[in-house]
Amino acid sequence: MQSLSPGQLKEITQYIRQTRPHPALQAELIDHLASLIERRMHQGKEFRTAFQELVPQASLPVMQQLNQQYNRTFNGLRPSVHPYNRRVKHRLGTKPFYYMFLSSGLTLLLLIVGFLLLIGRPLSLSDGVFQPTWGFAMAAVGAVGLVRWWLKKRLTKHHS
Amino acid sequence: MDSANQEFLRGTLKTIVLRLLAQQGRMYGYEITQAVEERTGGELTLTFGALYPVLHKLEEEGLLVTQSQEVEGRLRKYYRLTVKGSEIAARKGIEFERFTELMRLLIHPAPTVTFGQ
Repeated sequence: MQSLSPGQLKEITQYIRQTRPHPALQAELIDHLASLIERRMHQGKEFRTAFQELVPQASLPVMQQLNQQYNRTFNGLRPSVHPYNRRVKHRLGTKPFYYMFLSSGLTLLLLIVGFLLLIGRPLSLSDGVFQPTWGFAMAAVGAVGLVRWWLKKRLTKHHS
Repeated sequence: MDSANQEFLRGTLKTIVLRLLAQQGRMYGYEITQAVEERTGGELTLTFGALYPVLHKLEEEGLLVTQSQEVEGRLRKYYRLTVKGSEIAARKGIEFERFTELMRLLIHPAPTVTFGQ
């Protein structure tokens, strides 16, 4: 059977993409339309004629109907999309900033506690110094908790 | 007859796909539509709008597996039956034959049969 040139295949691909089919169907629809055109070319038709004849079979309304039917079949849930059509997905398990903030916060907390235990008491700091230090430590702990909560909320929202 | 055929096709599409794959081993979408058209002398035609949702559904149900291959610069997805798919295909074939037998009995009842007595 007569094969399509890269330019003709590109034209078919662009046409199918314009009709915005469901991503899970795109590659197969391109192959299907290309195969139909090749068959007509084998029967002696020109590419342009075959393309024009077959375009109504894959028109925008037809594709919209197909998308609706597809979504009904899967209740709006997408089946696996072939890697050919899939965008790079974020890895759910990788949270570098989350652990960086957590580890920095814990280090800060340890330093503050160390300061209070090792330096504060032997030097018998007055209440005027001791209380603000404790206040600062509590604020730091609160800040760590707040950042942790905010990051968790952001990550959950991003992955949902 | 065309619209009637399409109506019957909708209800039997899974059986058709499974039986074709059981006979042919592996096929891609366009090949399935061509097989249906050729075997029925062009009386039955499958549109891709009807075919691909069914193929993907069967794949999701674990009855088919796919293998993608680049052919002539484009991606081609081949479908093949799983073990479970082969079992279902065989069962569907038997069930459908029985169903057509029953339909024949309903449409052309034997002259001796009397109804409502």
